[in-house]
Amino acid sequence: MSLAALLSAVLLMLSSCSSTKPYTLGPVKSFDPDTSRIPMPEETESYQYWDRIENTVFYQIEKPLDLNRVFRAAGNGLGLNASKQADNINVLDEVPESSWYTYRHFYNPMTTEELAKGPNTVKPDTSGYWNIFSAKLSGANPGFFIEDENGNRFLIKFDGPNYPELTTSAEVIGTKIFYAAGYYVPESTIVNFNPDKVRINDGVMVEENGEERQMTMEDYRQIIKVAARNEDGTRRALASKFVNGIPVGPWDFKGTRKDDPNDRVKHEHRRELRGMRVISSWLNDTDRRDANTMSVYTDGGYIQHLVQDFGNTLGANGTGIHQPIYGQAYLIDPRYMALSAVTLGLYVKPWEEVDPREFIPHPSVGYFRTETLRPGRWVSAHPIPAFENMTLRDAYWGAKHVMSFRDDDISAIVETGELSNSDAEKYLIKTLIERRDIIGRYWFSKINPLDKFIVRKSSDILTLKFSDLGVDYGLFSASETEYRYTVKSDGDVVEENLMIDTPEILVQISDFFDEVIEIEIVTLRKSRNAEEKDIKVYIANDSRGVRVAAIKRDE
Amino acid sequence: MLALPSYLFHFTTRPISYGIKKAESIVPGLFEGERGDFGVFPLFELGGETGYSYGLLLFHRNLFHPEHNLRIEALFGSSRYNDFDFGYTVNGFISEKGTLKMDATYANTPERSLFLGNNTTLSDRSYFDREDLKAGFEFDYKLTDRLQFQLYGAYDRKRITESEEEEELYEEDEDDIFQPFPRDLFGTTSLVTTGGRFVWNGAGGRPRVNRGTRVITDLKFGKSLTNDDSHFMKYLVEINQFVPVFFLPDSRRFGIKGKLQKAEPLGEKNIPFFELPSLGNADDLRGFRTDRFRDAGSLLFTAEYRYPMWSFADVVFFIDEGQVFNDYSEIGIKDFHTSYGFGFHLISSKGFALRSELAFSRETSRFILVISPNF
Repeated sequence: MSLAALLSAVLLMLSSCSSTKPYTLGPVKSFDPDTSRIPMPEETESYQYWDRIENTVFYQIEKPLDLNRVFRAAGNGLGLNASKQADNINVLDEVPESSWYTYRHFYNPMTTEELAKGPNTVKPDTSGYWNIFSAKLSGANPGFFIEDENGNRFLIKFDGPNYPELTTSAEVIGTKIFYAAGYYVPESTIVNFNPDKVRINDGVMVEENGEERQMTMEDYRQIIKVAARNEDGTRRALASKFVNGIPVGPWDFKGTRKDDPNDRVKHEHRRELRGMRVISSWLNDTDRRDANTMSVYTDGGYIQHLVQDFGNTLGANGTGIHQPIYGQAYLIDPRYMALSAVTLGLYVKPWEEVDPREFIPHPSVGYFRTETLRPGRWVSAHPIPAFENMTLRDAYWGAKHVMSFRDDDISAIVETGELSNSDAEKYLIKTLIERRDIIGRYWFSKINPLDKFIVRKSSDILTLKFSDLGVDYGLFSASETEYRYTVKSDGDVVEENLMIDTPEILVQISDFFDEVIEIEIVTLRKSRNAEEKDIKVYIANDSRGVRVAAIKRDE
Repeated sequence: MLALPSYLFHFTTRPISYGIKKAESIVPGLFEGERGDFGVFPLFELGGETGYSYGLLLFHRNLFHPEHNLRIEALFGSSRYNDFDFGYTVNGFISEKGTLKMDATYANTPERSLFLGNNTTLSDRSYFDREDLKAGFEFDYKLTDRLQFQLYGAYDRKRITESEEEEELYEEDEDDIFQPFPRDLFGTTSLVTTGGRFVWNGAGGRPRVNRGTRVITDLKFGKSLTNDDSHFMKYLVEINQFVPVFFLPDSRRFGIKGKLQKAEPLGEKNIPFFELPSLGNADDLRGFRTDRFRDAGSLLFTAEYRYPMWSFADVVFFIDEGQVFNDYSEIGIKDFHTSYGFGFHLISSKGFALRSELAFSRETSRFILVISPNF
């Protein structure tokens, strides 16, 4: 017996041990009950360097030592088994709502007004005095915390001196896009404030040369020195509102939080974190990592998981600009290092000779380009375990969220970045639209982008309607698209290889049909002269009515 | 079970995790690299005749004044090997173009070996122990954008004693072949030295030097304070040439170094043997043991091919050709000794940061890890 035959036999045996029904006749899980009341956990510390070192060095060594992972990857490469899919998806290949994620724009399209508003409920009151109650002098982006006269508290940050409006606009735009995509984010807004209407509370300490002392107005003036000055004398800043609840430290992109019994799914196997990689690639959100997240103990007594710090998105990298390597390789990337070393310098890395200054059309948009985006190869600045685990299905999930932002949606959100230069604003909108389409075209070509299945039954006719996201979002032409489908009942082919050119399938129901029928659909794009992978839709038809019981996307 | 190796690795590395987190909490600027104002780093020195040594580096870039830098290093290799360095730098001394450096060193370095001449074999080696105490200054002044002048002076006391290594070798194997160290070279010598150096730097490229020429000339005088035996001068001429590979980005480049050193006695006095030029160290003829060739003069040629492996790291392949001589007439094409090797250079935003190289020769090989560039 050959090795391949032996492996196949073993896999067959193992697969026969598992459940053979890919669908459910019960209710589809649309909410993950991870909001049970728990005792308030202790706050965990946030480390600016440890997560980078851990994920860049130690986790990379751990991976090949995990033989489960190695064999699975080898089997996947040989076509013997599938990739490890996310652990928190339901039978419809969707993410249930949870303390991590909620259904927003893709599922229930938001108006442009709602998108522009994002998570915001209030802005800082600039009519009265701001009282600084905490401050940070050192670090890449000094700032302070204020309480306005309405008692609302905000973190105030500024742009870098050489790139006015860049970081603050990126922060606001990134926040609103992540919010619309379904993540929990802090409120953030651009604010123009009178620098003379700021006071420092007694007891506000700052650190200088390792020693703590009371913050002075001179410290305050030093911080706002870099702030963009408006014609009326006000200063432009980013205001991030303190979240409701009690912050209890960052959450990790790997493992679970030990003192949170609600946290049962390993974070590296959460769909919304794996698929986030595609959303991050759209925005070139390169500094996504543990330290830029926040866990909040809510009034409801559970931990809510927020994504924050979008100052390294679009063309911004903190108070400066992105460098060409960002998004193209990790900042320490053994793959490219080895390639460079063994080729004796003959291999020139794509970003190596790029001078970013030549590609900055306006200082307020920084280094943010379309031509350099390679969706399948995009990486954050440091390895993220959840991103590394992204499968094609995770990527599709992320891509459909990216594509759900129409041109007008993007314009509405970008406008809230309040860029004073209209050309800069137009460039940003155009680049986001182009990058969105590149992402959609890439991932929707890798996997069948049929979605939003709705099934109806009228007498003995069953109608299955669906959206072809590739056509709906304008990536592919409807006139050049056809669908080939096969209907099966209880494993028997009922109708085979029928062709339609609109996303609607009619099936004549017979008495001998099983309570669940399977419809396999393949999308054909004439222009691409290629057949896309199939998608199987399981439709339940029993005493509870007719409904979609499962969706299986072929990778 | 299949994941067990991964779990084991994970748990065995947790103390490192704890240490890094703790370090990050206690010293927030620790990982800030060049941005930190002060810090303490562990030091490890590998290779050399003592094998390895360890210690601490303490620096402060803003002591008393933003332009004042302090650097203290302490290295412990064995009960017989210690090295303490103190350095204080005042930037903007006298004018913006001036820098004053003051440094002091105490070191006892056993197991030094002496080879005199270009054609010595390993059996010609003799051993001695050395104790150094040195204190000096260096004033750098930028005459133009490319031309720099250095004036320096030092008090240097060296005590040469019988090598304990030599005694141990005798005890271990009486047949081991080496020569007894010349008895007349034992003793303590206190020197005062002074000199000047011109550096014309026409080489460009940052952080990687990739084109142009650099010329270094140095003239140094030394005189013994303890007796009237030693009075000498030394001169050095070094030329560095950098050439990018024309069909590749400038970061792929060749570096070529030519270096001539000569010591001359003055007034029929002597030159202390430790002041004679030597080859065989981390910079010159790297594949040989330390001070493998020593004489009144030395001539060295080095060629390196350097290319980036990453933004902060270069790969380097090199070959060194060198010889020592007593008189210029002794220089011969056939008398060059060859060493070769490869290595990795770490590059910071300001330029060179760390060099690790593996060098080979017909006699031995050595691993080099130093924080100074070769050229």
